[in-house]
Amino acid sequence: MTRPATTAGGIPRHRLLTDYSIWAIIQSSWMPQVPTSPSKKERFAKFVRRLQAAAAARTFDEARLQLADILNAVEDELTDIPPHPEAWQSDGRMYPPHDDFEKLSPHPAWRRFRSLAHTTLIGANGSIRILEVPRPPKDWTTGPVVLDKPGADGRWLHDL
Amino acid sequence: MNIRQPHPKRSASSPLKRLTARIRERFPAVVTTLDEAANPARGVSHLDLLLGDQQVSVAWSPERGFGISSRSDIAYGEGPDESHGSIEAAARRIERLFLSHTYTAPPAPADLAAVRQRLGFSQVALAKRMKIQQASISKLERRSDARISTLTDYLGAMGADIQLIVHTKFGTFPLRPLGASKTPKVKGGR
Repeated sequence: MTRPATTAGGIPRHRLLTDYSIWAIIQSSWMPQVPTSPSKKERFAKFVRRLQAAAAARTFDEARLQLADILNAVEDELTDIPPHPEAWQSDGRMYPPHDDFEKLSPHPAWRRFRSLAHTTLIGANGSIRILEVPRPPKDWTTGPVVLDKPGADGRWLHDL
Repeated sequence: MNIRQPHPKRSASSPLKRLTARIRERFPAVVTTLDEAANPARGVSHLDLLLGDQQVSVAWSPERGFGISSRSDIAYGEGPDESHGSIEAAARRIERLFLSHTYTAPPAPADLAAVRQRLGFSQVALAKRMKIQQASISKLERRSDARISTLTDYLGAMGADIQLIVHTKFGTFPLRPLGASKTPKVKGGR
């Protein structure tokens, strides 16, 4: 036999306050709100989404600046870690590619930057590709692609 | 755009090559890949090592030495967890990580004495630089409270800086140094 959806007084059962729901209301209104910071994974996903949605860049410099601006904006919004791009060790913040992290490029129209866990390729036409460093370690080109974006001329990195 | 092309004569960063040889000697089954800096004079090269299911990533540059991380959740552009000054120190640490099957962790908050030691100052050397007694340094490092100006002087004498961050329910922002003037008004501005 199924339970009626309403009480004898006509009140929908799902609107009834149980002991638990009263406790939950008290907790949520009286307990101090503890701010929760988004995880690195969430921050990175937001950065990738915004970079993917941004207008395509026309040049290498424009693409690099766009990537840096979007990443810094996401970190400023979602973390309270002040930026120290020159710091060597981790401070928990994500940073855009720095000149010192440039690696040899297999293609004359690409520049390649490597951080501990990612490889970033930027093309002369503003195209961008971000790959994870493969685990286990292999040729960097085999890493999973996280973002692939064409330049303003519609060409992807592999079209160059 | 300044495109850097591969240079066939460039050799792998020798400190990372030596580190690889040292680790291979100890762990012959280790799998390694070396990713060289485009600028060998000051760039950062990377070495990835895998033993069993444990991966260790090493970053090295002539200016900064060896950085080591072995976590699986390293973020985009994030720096290494640990810093080591020599091949010996880096090799010992990697060996320990492999043998103990443990992982590195992001740097923990440091107390004043740890910061001083990391910057290579003894209490005596720092006291001399600050023109105070060594005992005052010792006392400061053991105190549970200190003036911001005292901390600024202490860190400033070692070339370091302090930044105060205010957390509120509306957001987080850096606090302007106490006593610093507000943004000057510009004549003719809006």
